[in-house]
Amino acid sequence: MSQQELIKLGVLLTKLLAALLLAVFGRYIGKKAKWVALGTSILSLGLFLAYIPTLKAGLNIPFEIEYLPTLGIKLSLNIDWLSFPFLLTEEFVTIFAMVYSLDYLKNGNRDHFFYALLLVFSAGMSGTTMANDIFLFYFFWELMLIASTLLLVNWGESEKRGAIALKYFIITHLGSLLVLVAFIMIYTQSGVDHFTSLQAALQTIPEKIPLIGSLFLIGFGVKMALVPFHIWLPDTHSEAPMPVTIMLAAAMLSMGTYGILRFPMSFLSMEQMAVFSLPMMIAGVVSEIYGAIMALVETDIKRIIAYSSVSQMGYILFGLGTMTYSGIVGSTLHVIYHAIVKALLFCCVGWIIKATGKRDINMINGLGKKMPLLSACTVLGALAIAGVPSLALFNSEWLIFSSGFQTPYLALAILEVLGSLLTVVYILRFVGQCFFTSGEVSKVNPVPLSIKIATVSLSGLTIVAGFFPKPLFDYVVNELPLILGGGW
Amino acid sequence: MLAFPQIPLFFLGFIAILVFLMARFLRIRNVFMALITALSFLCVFVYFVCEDQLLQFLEIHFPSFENTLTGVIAPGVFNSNDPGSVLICMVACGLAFLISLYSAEYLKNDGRQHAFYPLLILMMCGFMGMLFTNNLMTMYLFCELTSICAYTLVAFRRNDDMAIEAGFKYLMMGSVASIVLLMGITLIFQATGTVNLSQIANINDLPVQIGLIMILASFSLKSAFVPLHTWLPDAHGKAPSGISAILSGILLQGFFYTMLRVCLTLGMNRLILSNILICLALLNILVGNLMGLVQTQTKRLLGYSTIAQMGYIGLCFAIGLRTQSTLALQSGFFLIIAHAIAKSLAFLVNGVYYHYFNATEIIDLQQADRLTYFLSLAFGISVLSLAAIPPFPGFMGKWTFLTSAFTQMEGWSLVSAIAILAGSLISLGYYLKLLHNLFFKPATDRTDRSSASQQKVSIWMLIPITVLVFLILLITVKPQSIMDGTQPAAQFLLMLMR
Repeated sequence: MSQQELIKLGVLLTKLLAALLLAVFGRYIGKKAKWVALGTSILSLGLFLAYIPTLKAGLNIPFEIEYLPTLGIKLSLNIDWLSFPFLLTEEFVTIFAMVYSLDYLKNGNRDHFFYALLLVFSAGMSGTTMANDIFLFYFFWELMLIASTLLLVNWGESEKRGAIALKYFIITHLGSLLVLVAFIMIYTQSGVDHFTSLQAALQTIPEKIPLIGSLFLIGFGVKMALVPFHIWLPDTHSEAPMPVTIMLAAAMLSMGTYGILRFPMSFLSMEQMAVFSLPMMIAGVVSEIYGAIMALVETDIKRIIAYSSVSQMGYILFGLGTMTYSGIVGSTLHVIYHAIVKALLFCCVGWIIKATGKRDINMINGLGKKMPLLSACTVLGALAIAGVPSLALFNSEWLIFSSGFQTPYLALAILEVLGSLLTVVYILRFVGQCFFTSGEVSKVNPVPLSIKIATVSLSGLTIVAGFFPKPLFDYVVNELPLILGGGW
Repeated sequence: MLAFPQIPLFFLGFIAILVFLMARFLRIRNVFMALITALSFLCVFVYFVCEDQLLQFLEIHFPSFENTLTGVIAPGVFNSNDPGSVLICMVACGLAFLISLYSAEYLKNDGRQHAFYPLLILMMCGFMGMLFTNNLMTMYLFCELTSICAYTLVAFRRNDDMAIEAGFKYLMMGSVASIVLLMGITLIFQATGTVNLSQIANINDLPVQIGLIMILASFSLKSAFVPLHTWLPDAHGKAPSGISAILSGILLQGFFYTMLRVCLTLGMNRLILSNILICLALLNILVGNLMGLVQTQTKRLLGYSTIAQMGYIGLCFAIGLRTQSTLALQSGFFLIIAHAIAKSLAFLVNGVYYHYFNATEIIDLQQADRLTYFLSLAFGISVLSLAAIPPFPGFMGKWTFLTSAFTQMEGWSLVSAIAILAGSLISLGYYLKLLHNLFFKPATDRTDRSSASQQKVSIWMLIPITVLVFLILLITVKPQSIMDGTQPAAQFLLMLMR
């Protein structure tokens, strides 16, 4: 087995193996479980980073195992430039979620299950991005869903967690089933489940392309929480424990984007995708504005940030829908930046909740004086999500906005830019109400160091990513030859 | 393929009497009875696997052996070229072997074990005879043997009123089915003058058609197709765990396969048969899954899950008949095997919890993972496989079916594909409930298991469970081996259709 294959397997198997060990032997190591989980996710990130030279040299070969020849199923793992940005996001977010969770859980009885499931969740996401055949893709896609549901059911914050988890599971599973149907429709045509042969097979059934394309877009749109498939998101994000919320909002939402980029947008050519361009842009604008308005009227601070995700996913879909160079690069960059900023904002929200014990925005007043560090971080995150220049999200928003004007649909492009004004409104309401009102919060509880570390380091990342976009940009641009027939 | 199916039948019959006599007069202990039974099932299993070598050996050393056998013992009654029956019998034998081992501990505290093992052996004997026979009358007799043993075994714990009721209900419904079966056979005999399947001609006569429908109705009761399924949840809920496992794991599917084989051999129109099966199967998926959602007892829940799974299996075969696709039929056999292993594993682990905690309700599963953690992992794996979560065998079977259904792109195939997807989605509601209770619920007063970690689970229970877990993992890693095994069976069914 070559070094390359070892690394690829390692990124996945370290997490799965550690999860298995934690689940079985976790009760014997007690509180050390969290350090095992954190160490594993760092090791996994390290392995992934060690793969970049191979990727740069263009030497990556899929790792394959024969599985079920009768049905042409061959398990295959690969990291290419298209999976790179998503894998990077996911690995980093996992580490931040782990750091955040270090002092989060209170009763230590079943903690090792929490960390095991968090690792499985993370492995599901890395597997989804690394899979190179639909069988494995679907397997990891479901693994991700099951792990997150179990986390939600068991560590949810209120009594309604069972019902919310069920709603989450059923709606997103419906999306997965649509994707599965699309997969199988192409797969029966090719007889082999490898991505490249599927792409060739899809071109032999041009009459089914509209159907398959819509199944993919709707299926992945559910995972992306686009309006009107977003209904699972606000409940789920506000119910989940904070580390899981960070994983869900920052990493799992981007899996829907990955699915759209990986399947319809790389299987089909520019002409074939042109049909979907307008619907995608409209859906993007609708999600953006709807999410922002809902964020404006919510009073629960966790739900405000959750609706902000719906809005941000709208930007991403709009960018993808323009089918232009800057739109696609901008959307991919937006995924990464959004992950950083959204993780930061949820960390801040978690900090506020931990410190004040309240979630209603009208009850939280004047934290600015008492907690300067928190207010600095939150303001930074708020400015970033509002698209202030030189902070992370500005670069990608710029690209997405400019892509809109390269399409014939000027009205939509203008609506998109104006819609971003709503983002400023809801995020300033949030910051202003929490930190800069005159009232006083009676009591502020001490907050664990791990939460502070996670928040501050994410703020640092927001600034660094905003000031130095070039390295990331250079990496992300490499995905373009894989998309829409590669004719850029 | 099996040249002499009668050998294992006679062997099992002999062993049944032997075990009964030994238990009665030598008063041997439960463990010994279990071991003898298990050993005899193992012998039969080995006979299935390497009959060729055995016959070669006999031919060299006893040249007259083959003539004696064909001439003397039941000539022309048994069908020797049906790979599907062999496949199902091998699964049944394997399960019976594991369940006899399991019963060594499980029945330790019950009385009347001298009745249990002979009944189990006779049930398997009847089951195999029914699958292998080529003669309608023999089939009826063997079918009765199987059913009567099954009724008795369901009511084995006779100091439990509910068990008696379940057994009695099964007996009443099953007897009606048997009478209908007998009437059907009589009609066919009257019209054609023979009961030998290979000799029956003129099947377009009205009496033969009516007879076929009666056979179909009778077997659809025995394989628990809605609306004739009502006996099943009771029977599975109250039978000893091993018996529930074997009833739900392979017996139903065996009845179903026999029905398919008889109907096809007699030349029933495959489209009519497939239409009937699709209707029944869709009802099964609907009723099984919806009723599964509201159950409170683990074993009844597993019973309803069996009804739903019978629906999936029925759909696979129905679509296979309709489109003449080998892949769909293969997926049916694959699902039978996957379901047999996963469902019996679930029943056996639940039986362990019953044995040690007296756990019958779903909420009794709470904190049960205090007892040997391996058991709850095994239960988890089996439930995930039943719920068709990739990459476990249950998912592979459905994937195969979906592949064949979407290849055909024909109305009913698509409907059934959607039914299977929707059914799996609904079924997650109850499967996840089981897992949630087992792994994640905190202890209540009712389920305080703090002393459980000191209890040692008996080795007789752990061995079969380990074997089944190992089998599931083996199929997960190498599904191709099972897929290869099902191919001759699927091709045999295709051949019957022509």
